[in-house]
Amino acid sequence: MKKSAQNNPTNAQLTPLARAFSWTESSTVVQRVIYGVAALSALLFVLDFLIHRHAYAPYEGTPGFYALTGFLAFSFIVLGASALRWLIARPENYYAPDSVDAESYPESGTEQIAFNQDKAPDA
Amino acid sequence: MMAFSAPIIFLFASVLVACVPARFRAPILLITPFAGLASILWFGMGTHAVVSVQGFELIFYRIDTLSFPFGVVFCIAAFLAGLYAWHVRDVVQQVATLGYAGAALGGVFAGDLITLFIWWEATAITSVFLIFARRTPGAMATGMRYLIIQVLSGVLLLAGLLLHFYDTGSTTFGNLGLVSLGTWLIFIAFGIKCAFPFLHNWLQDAYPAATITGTVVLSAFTTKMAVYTLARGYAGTEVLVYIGSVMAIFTLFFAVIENDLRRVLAYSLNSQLGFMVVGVGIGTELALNGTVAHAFSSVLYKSLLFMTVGAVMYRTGTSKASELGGLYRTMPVTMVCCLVGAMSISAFPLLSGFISKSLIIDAASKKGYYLAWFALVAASVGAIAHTAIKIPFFTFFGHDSGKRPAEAPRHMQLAMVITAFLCVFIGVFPGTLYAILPYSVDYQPYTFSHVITQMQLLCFALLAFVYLMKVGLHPNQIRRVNLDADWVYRKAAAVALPAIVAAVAAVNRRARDVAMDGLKRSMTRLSQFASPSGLLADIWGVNAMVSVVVALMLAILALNLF
Repeated sequence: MKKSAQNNPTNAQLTPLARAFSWTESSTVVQRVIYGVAALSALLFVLDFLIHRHAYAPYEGTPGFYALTGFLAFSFIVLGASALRWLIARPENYYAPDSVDAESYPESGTEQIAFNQDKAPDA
Repeated sequence: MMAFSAPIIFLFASVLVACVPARFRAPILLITPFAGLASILWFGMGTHAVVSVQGFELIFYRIDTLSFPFGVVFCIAAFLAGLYAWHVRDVVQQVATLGYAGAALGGVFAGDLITLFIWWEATAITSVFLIFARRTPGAMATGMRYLIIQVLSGVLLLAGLLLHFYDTGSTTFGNLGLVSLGTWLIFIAFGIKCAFPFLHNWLQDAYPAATITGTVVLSAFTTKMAVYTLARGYAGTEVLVYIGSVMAIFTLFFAVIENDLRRVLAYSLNSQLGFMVVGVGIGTELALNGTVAHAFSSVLYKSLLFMTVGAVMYRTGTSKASELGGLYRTMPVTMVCCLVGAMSISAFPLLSGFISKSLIIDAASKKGYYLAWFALVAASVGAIAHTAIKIPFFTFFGHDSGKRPAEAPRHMQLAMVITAFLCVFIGVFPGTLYAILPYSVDYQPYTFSHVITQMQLLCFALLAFVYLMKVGLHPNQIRRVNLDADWVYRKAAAVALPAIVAAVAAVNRRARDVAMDGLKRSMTRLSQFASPSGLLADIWGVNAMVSVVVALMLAILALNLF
């Protein structure tokens, strides 16, 4: 996408669907959404103590089991993966030329046009 | 009768596509799946298209409650992939797509092991052209690796079925169980295509090497056909519970750090297969229903995710997370479809993953497989990490790559929106999917417990993501490849090969030396006998001659006694 440097559409040029997501660029709104998720999480966590759930497996019925599993499993997987990367990451051309990792995808199989250029005559 | 079976319709269409002018090809790709679906519904439940060859009954069209849902979802996937590939003018890919879909349908509807073997190999031979069609040296090499492993799986299946026939005198494909060497070989053949741990690398190697549209096609068929064959032949085989748990877990770590998003999806596909394999291993009605339901919904949301990443690749030329970011501005439709796929795989309520995954997880805890149950719960969290958050975030949001590509072409958008709609539809109306499962379903996915526990998992996983991003512990996306078990045959074997060749050559030379030495020595011995002064050239007396003749005759007499 070499052409994209001078092609930076303003907010008004975007489709309404894209504008509906432009809040993701505002750090204050994102912060507020994060607080919202945190509040929802807290609510769900408290609810777990008030309401009896069906449980079959050991500890499954313990209040907070799923909340804790969600947080800890996520952290463990991501941190474990980071540690694993330290061990197994190799340069992109490690298997070259017998793999596609360091190859670029053939341009003939793509149609790389920039925003608002898709009304080109051949399209 | 056989000519109207769904697999033959697809094969016929694939031959037709090769013969007609270019403008008719894409429409044929769209119409064929409807013809296939119509054939399945028209024939209905039962065993059709039975051919007797040399005393063997070849059953080409067995439609029952287990094969039916797979046949339906394969037709849907073939239609969606055909729509997504509307722009493709490459006849090789179009022929391969139809042939491959037909072969996969053939495998699912095969009623005996010989027919299964034929289609099993056919899927390998047809699908590899979706990789070759990229036409780069890397893709050619990858395609050959893929083909070798797929054909190896077929050879094992053939060996297994011959042994099984020798043991039992039957080639019927029913429940086999791990009872003999033959059934073990068939099990391993299925395991290769189902990407069991250490047999899985062909998947992550090949899928990112295929063409943009080819990967969407590949993701739907081979592995789900293997899940079907496992469910048919090995339901209730306990070892599958443990194999499936390992599959679901270990792939997570590789998916989290992988940079190529199509390979991330390949690992995540492998993890989802783990769920289905656990379901087969448990083998209760609830679990098998879960396996089929999850195969069905996972074909859809995996296709959707491969489509969205493919659309990004079509517009930007790359699927590397390190090169992407901030694309939501100009590709909002693709982004929303990607979010639907992401929420489906993370089992968000009202989406397809929620209503299929929970069947298997519940079956595990009800049957007392608590370890497997926990592995699957953790793998659900993992799906949130490596697919649901990572793919949309690093592609459409996150760090702005500065790329401003145009939205995906219309036909791709349409294919993605239809697939996304199906994911939502199944999630909102689970009864429609439950109605075609192998056993009658007495299951309510939307209970208070289910929804609240799933929301807890999701919310707290999201919080963990936010926390790890804040403190900078979340791995960033860098241009790297990661080693996996395929290192053994791609690097270690290649390095060891010269040494192995040298060792074999040395043994060979030594053996020849020894043989030549022995030969030379015996020649000298012989020439000693035959030389003018040797024993044979000597003049013998009558007594000696008679003694020798008598000895020889006695020897012959003695031999005749036995």
